[in-house]
Amino acid sequence: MNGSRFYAVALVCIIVGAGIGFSAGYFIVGQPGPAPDPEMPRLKAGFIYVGPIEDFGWTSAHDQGRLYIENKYDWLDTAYIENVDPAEAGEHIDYLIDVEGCDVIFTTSFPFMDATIAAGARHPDTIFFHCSGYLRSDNVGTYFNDFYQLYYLNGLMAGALTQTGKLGYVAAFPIPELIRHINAFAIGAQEVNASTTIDVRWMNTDWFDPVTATNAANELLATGVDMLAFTEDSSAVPLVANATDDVYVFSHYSPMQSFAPTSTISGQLVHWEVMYEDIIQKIYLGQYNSTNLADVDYLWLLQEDAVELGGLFGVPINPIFIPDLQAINVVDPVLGTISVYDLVMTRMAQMSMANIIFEPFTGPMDFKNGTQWLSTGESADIYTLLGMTWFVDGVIGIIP
Amino acid sequence: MKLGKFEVVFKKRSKTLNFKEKLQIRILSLLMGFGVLALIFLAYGQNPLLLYFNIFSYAFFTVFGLLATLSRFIPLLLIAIGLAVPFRAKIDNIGAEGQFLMGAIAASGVAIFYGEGTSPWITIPIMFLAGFIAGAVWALPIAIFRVKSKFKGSDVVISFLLFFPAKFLIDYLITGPWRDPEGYGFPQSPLFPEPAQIFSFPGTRIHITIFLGLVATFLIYYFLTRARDGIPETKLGYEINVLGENPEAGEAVGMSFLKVAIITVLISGGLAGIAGVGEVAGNPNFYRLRPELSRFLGFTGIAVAWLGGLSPLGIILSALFFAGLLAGGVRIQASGLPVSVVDLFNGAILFFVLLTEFFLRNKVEWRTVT
Repeated sequence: MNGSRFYAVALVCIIVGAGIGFSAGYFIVGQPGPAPDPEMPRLKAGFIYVGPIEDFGWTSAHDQGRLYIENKYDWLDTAYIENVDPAEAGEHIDYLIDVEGCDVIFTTSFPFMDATIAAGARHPDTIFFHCSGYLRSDNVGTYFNDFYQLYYLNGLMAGALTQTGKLGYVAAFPIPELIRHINAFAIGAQEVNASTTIDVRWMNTDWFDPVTATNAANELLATGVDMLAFTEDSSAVPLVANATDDVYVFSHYSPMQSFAPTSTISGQLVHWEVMYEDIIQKIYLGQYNSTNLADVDYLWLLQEDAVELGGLFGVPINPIFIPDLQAINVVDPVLGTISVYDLVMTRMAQMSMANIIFEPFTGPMDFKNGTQWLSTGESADIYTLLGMTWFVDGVIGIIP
Repeated sequence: MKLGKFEVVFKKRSKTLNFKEKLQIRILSLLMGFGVLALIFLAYGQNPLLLYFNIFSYAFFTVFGLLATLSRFIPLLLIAIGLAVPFRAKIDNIGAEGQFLMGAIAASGVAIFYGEGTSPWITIPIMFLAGFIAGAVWALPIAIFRVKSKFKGSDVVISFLLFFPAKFLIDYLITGPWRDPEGYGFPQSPLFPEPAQIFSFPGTRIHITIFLGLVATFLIYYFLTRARDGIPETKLGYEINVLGENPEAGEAVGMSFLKVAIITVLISGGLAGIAGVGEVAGNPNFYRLRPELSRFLGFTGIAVAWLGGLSPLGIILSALFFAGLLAGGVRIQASGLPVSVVDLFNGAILFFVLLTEFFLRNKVEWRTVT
C-alpha cells in the first residue's frame, strides 16, 4: 500500500466509523423519558468513589447506601464515578456538578479532602460532604461511621478463643483510623486474656489488594497467629482462614461470613444508608444548606445503628462459636464473674445506649513504651482517638 | 511457528524503514489494539465504534474533556520528551517514575520549609530547579551502569529498581519528619504555602508547567534532534545517533559514550523531575506530598515516547493522544461497562504501542504449508 493511498483509506475509515458511532448513539439513546413533576423540587446527589463498586468492601458499602436512598425517595436522583484517582478528583467533582447537574456531592475517601474543599470554594451553591476527613467549610461537611467499638468487641472474642495467645491484623495503610482499630482490638483481647499479643502487617499498597493481603495473612500465620482481623477491601483474609485449620477470622466491612462459614467468628458491618438518609433528608428539608455546614461533622457509632457487629447482617456472632464463648468465664471488676458471650452482649448494649456508659479506651492504659497514657478511670476523648498515631501496650510491630 | 495450515515466520528487517513506513506500522499496530478491544466491547454488548467516538469526542471536542486531557498532557509530555533522549542513544531508562517522584520530593521540601512568606517568582523557579536536580541525580547511576557494566541490561534493571527507594522515601517522609502536624496523623505533608503553589489558568487545572514542557520539547528539537537529510545538525545530536547505533565505532573515532550517556540520562531524569514538581505543586488535587502521587505516569511515558517515534513533534502528538485516552477512558463508565474495562482499555493500547517496536524490527510473513 503506498503512502498517500494509506492515509486516504485511514481518513475514510475514521469518518465512516465516527458516522456510524454517532448515528448508533442517536438511536440507542432514543427518546427522553416522561418529564418529572415540575411541582416537586428534586435533588441530585453525586458520589465520588475511590474504588470499584464491586470491591466487596468500602466502596460497595457506600454504593449500597446510595442505592438505598435513591430507591427510597422519588425526589432524588443519583450519579456516581468509581475508581477515581485522587490526582483527578477535582475534575470529576466538576463533571458531576457541571455535566450531570448534581446539587449534592459526596466524596467518599480521605484523599479527596483537599479537592472537596477546593470544589466547595469553586461551587458555593453546591452542598458537599466529605467522608473521613477533618477539613470543613461553609458548604462542606464531614461524615464517618467508625468501627472501633466493634473491633473492641471482636477483640473480646478473639482473646477468649485464641489457643496460641497471638492475634494478627492485616492493615492496608498506617492511618489513625486503622491504628485506633488495631488498638481497640488489642484492648478487647487483653481484657479477657491479659497475655494476648497482637501482631500487625502493614500492606502500604492499596485498599483493595487481595494478593498482598493474602501474603500478609500467611506471614502472620507463620508466626503462630490463630486469629485474624483486617482492614482491606477484599475477601482475601477470610479465604486464607477458610483454607487453614484452626485459624479464625473477623469479617470486615461487608458480610463476608459466607467466604469462611466455619472460620468467621464475627466482624464489622456498616450501614451507610442510615447516615446518607439522615443527610439527604436534612438537605431536602433545607436544614442543611450551602452556608451552614462548617460545624456539621457526623461521627456515628453503635448508638446510631450506623454500624453493626457481625459477619452477616443480623448475626452478631456466628452461632457455632456461641457455646465456646458461653463456656469461658472472666472476672470483671464491675460485672463480676461473667461468660465472654454475656460480656460481649453487655458491652454492646452499654455502647448502644443513648448515653454510652462504656468506653473501650479507658485507663489505666499505657503507651507501647510502658509510660502511662490514661490514668485509672480516665477515658480518651474522641479527638484524641481520631488523631491516634501510637499503639497501646501489647501490640507488636511498628507504625511506619 | 505453525498455525494449522499456515506457517508464520518472523524475519529481521534488512533495511531501515523511512519515516512514512514507520508511521504506517505504528498506526496499523494501534488500530490492531482498537480492533482487539472492539471484540471485548462487543462481548459486553457495546458498540465499540460508538465508544471510541465518545472517548475521543469527549477528550478533544468538549471544553471539559479538553481541559482534562491537557492536565494529563503536561506530565506525559515532560516525561516522554525526556525519555526520548536516552532512548535515541539506546539507553533504556524505564525508571522515569522514580525520577518523577524524586523531583516531587525535592520541590515539596523547598515548598514546606522555605515557601512560607516568600515570593512565588523566587520559590517556584527554585522548586523547579530542585526537582530537575533531584530527578537528574536519581537517573545518573543509569548512565554509569550502562557504560561501565559488563551486563547489557543493567540500565533497565537499575532504572526500574530505583523507583522503589523513591516511593519508600515518600512513605517515610510523610509518616515521619514531613508529616502534617495538624493533619490528625494522616500520612501526608502539610499543605504547601501559597507562594509554592504553581499558577494555573483561572478555571482550569492547566498549570504553567505546560510551557516548560513545550520549551523543553523545542530545546531538544533544536539542540539534539534537528536534522538535515537524516543527519543531526548538532554535534551532540550526531554523537547520540552514532553511539546509539554502535558505541564501539563511536568511541573509536574519539566520542565518549560515558559523556553522552551521562548527558542524556541527566536530561531525561531532570525533565521527569520537573514533571513531578508540576504534579505535586501544580495539580490542585495535591499541593502536598501524598502517596497517591505515584500513578505510573512515568511508565506510561515510555509508550508515549515510542509512539511518538522519539521525535519531538511526534511526542507532542502521542502525549496528546495518551492524555486524551486517559481523560476519555474514564467516561467509558458512563456506558455502563464495569470500571475495570477502563484499565483494560488503557493497558491494551499501551501493549500494542510497545508491540510496534517488534514490528518495526521484524517482518511477519506467512505461507501455506505444503
